[in-house]
Amino acid sequence: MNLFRNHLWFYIFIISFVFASFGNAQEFRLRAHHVYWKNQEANTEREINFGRSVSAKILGKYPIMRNEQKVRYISQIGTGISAQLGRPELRYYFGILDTDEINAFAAPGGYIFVTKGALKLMRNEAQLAGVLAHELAHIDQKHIVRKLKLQSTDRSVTSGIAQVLGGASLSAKIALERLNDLAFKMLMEEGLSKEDEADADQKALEMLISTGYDLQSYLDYLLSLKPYLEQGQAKVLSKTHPTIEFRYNNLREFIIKNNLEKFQGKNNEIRFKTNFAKL
Amino acid sequence: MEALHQTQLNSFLLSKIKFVLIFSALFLSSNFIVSGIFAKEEIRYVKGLGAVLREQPSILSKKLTKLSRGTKVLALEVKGIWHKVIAGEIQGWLLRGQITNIPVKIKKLVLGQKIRLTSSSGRRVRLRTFSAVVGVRGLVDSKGEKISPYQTDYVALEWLEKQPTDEENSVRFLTLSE
Repeated sequence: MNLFRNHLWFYIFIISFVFASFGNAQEFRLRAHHVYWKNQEANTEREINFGRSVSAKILGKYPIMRNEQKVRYISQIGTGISAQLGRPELRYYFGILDTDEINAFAAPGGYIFVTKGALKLMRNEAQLAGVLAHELAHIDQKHIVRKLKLQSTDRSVTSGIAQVLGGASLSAKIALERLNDLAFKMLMEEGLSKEDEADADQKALEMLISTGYDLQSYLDYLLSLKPYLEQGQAKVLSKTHPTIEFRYNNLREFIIKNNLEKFQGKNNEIRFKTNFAKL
Repeated sequence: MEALHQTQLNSFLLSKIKFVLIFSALFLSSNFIVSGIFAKEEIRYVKGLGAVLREQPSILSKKLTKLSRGTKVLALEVKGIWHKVIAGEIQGWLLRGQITNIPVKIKKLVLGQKIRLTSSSGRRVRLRTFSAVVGVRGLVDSKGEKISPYQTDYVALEWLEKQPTDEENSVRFLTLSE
């Protein structure tokens, strides 16, 4: 006993040294990631299911355009961007809404919709890519789930949804449905915060840079929205987004700050026009 | 008397040694853990298919190489929208959106359980998840009133989900010039 007690500190030293070697920076990081990823996977699934319900409501409001060739074209552009800068764990869907309203929507989990009215207003592929990239950024940054303030005690964004979704009782399901209505209302009436929109615009430019698209085209598209904002055609858009001046200046500032003025991108105008000759 | 003195000295020395050992052990382990948390050089993973590594933090700068999805890189510093990284032996700059701090897993379709049910038109449709059922039947509370005032269209959504997409083809489609 006495012998053990005399050597106790020696044992403690050995054990802590073993632990210390386990605490190797990279090991530590990887194990943390493993736990994080397990949670993340479950959260992603819930986010997708939540986004599906929001998308079904969008499609309940506006009819979908069932034109396979046109949908393939916009989804090729959208997927091309998301394959490089989107969340690798998601599959993104790109749909066209058959309405003359000018707008684009992103539901959580990878569902993106552009209206026919917006496509009619666009002049080239770079503008379409810019709009899709803006919506992709909303999904990547989880703006909607964050704004729903679903942060629970463990501070993970989607676990708030998870707790509601996990509940099997009718009251839990009603709560989820209410939450879903809130997300839908956010898209149609309330909009996101000014900061989130500014962030999505900047992220959209980053996506355009890395895919080689012209930046000025996206800015031109924003300017071309202006005359429609007062009319009914872009009423939802003007209600849910900051003013064009704010968005334009935000992007100009971003371009100057990052020395992007000289960047010459492509706009693939001919390809765009042949695909959307008849709308 | 002599023997007693010896044991006293022994225990005194032992307590000194204990002290040194404990602190060195604490120091060693904390060193590892702290360096793990506050390390300036961090491991990141390339998110996208074919991220272009550039020589300078500028879009006009020379292309060094293309990195494939999941490549481990060492992130060094941030400059605006650019991130300085070391990939293998090459040092260069990537756009900050092109890397992530979680290891990239293979994409899989995460979808809920499929539920079979009959729609109001009598046609059998395959729908997923609880919310899908709500979409067709409508969720009602105890008084029999609909919870959500909004219309849904899951049939259109399923049509959209059936449209094929291929990441590699799409990336190639983007890089095609007219």
